Amino acid sequence: MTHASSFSIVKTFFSCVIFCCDKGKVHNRLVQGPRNMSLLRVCCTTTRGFVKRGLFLESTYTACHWTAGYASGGVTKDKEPLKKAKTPQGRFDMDETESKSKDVLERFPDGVNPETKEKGGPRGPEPTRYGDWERKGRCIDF
Amino acid sequence: ITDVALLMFLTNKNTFCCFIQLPAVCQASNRKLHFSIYGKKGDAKVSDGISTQYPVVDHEFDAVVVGAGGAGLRAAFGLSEAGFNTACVTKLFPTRSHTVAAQGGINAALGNMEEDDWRWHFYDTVKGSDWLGDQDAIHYMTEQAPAAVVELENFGMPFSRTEEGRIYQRAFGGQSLKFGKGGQAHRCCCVADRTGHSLLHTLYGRSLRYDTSYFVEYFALDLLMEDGECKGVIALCMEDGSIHRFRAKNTVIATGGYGRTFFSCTSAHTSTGDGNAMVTRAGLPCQDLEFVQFHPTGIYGAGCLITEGCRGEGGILINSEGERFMERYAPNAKDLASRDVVSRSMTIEIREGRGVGPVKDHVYLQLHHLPPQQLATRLPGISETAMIFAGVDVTKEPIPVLPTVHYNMGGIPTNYKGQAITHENGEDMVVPGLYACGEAGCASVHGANRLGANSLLDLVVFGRACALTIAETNTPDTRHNPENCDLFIYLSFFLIGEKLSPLKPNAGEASVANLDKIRFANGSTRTSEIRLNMQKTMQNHAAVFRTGDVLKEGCEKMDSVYKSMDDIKTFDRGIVWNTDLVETLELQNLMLNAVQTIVSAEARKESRGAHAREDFKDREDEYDYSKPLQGQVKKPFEQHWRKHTMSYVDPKTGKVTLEYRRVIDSSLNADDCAAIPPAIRSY
Repeated sequence: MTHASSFSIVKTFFSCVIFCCDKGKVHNRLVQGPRNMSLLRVCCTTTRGFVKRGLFLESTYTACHWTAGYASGGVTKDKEPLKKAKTPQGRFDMDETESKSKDVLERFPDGVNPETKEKGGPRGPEPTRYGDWERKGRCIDF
Repeated sequence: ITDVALLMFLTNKNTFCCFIQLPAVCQASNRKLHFSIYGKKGDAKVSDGISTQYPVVDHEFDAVVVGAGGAGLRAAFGLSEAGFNTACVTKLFPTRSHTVAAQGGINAALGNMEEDDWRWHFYDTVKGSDWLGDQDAIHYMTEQAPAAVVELENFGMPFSRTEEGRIYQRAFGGQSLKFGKGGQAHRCCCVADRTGHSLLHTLYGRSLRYDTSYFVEYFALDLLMEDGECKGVIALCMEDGSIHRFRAKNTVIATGGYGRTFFSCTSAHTSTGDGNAMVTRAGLPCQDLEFVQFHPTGIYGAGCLITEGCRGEGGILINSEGERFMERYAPNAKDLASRDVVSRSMTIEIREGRGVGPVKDHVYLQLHHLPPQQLATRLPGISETAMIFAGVDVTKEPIPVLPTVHYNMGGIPTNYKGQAITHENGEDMVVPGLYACGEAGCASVHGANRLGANSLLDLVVFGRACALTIAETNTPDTRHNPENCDLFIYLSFFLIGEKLSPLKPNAGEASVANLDKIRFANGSTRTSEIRLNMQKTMQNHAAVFRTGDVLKEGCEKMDSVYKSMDDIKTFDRGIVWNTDLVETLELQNLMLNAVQTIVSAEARKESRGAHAREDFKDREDEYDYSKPLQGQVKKPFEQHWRKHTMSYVDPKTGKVTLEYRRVIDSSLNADDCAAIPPAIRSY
């Protein structure tokens, strides 16, 4: 019983901390800062106090137990990885695959230039072939 | 840091505040957040010292760096690493500085592709500068180059690699082996096709490890000078319109070049030569401003350069009559003549009225007579470039081009350590407290002409040099920075750390008065009109084609444009994010640079490097180096031109005074690296 109660206290404090952190991020002006910060401070000091009182070990144990429970399919069963929902394609949106193939300068296989064996070098033909540093018809340096 | 030290720190207001603000979930660290929009709050004091209308916030630091490009960031975190409390004042966010556009590579004699020696790099740079570069600074730069590149690579910059895993180097930028006799050298290291971008992001990321205070979007107005000593910077916070004085014993200027004085340039709109102007207004000289590097084919309006490969593949330059005019100027080489010949020919055509466009101020580069498949295979991406920047279909229409400014070799004169110098009674005197690096500085490694891929090297080497010089000659004042050292060092620096010298309470008054005057300016010409006049004048008179009459006419026109600044009109009367005000301040800075450029160019009666004159086609040195030296009489200093120009401006009238300074011909260590005696420069 004590485990469950301390676990719930930890959960509420952490969610409190997270809530305050989020709030703090939204209003990043120092004017509103003190109000949110004081709340955060309260949560932090109490959490610190909590920690100091030696219940830290217990709470980590319960936290581990909590995450361990998820891994073994405790609450929900996730067979497939969660997919990010795609927003509907707009009129001007390009297909992802289409934009990659339209790129004029092709990537070398594995990033290695087959003639010079340069790894991670500039794409396309050798930039210094005309005496200046050329890219896409532009002169970058000379 | 021990618990005893922690107790001591708790008495310090700064650490106490931050200790509370950090959430307990990361309680182990008592480091402050590196970045805060308002700077370090603890030291700021608001005062009415200058004016009740413009309350001034005073900050105290050990060092201030103005500008956060490649050189500025390197200097800033070099100083923070050495334990100094550093502020970095920049008008742009660090990763938006113009360094990000430098896509070429960095030269360093690492010797990965073939056997290489930094002394050969030294020779190439001295020759490239047309013997106007200071050989001690070039020695310093080329000797430090391999270490600098390795340091960058250790910071995480992803250079391209050879099969063995060493940094890949390619041939670029007029580099040779064995003092010019051993063929092409491969010295240029790069990061795919975005070296400058990667450099800037690497340096910014690295700087976040240290405790530099960034003051982003603060426009530096002027230097605070007292008795010839630089005591800090006064800046305008663009976000809320407050004036800030940054008092520091050491100021490093790394504000970049001033490409925007010309109508067509590759630089960003923010390259306005603020550092040069600040130094000029402080009564100090600028060096070699007449040396401006041009490229013949820059796209009209956009400023993007078209590669010489277009002409190499068969592209031709045509004027308004559809004539291939290069045949007249260079009958053999035609369009493949050297860059300066092509630039001059284009300018002559435009001056004689055969330019194209509504104002007849540019020429065309024609590529549509070439087969489209050949263009696509040999020059992939050019149709995209032409469409985006010129709005033309390269297979049907010609591209509008004109000679474009790319780099400014001149700037604030420094010695090889990065300390700003001034020239009095024939001697170089160091200005205490002032340093300069990057494109804004002129330690004169580039001399009269910059070699490709040397400028990124210049940034990192001299940025580091400024930081090292400051660290050598100063001790940080640790009362502002207790977290970075342990208790013993803290106490000892408390006793011997240097305090700031006192500053007059109304220091910076003139800058604020100027700001106020511009904010409420109610003349008749707008900022944009004056700026366009200046740019057109400079493009027509101080560009590639320089002769006595053209330059003299340009000097007079620039004088009248300068005087028209008194009649300027601004529209925005607010103080918060007043871009009209900031653009006008930038225009003032550009003007100072422009008048110095054109007057120095008019005065220099020879052709050397990037400064090429039609009426004086040869180089004038103390001896005639095309003939054997025996039997020649050395010309006195006043009669030859192998010397640096030092220009001063009176900001009220715009009058430029010129002085000359000797070129340093000896390297740092004659045994290590012999100095190169001047010779005729031919490739």
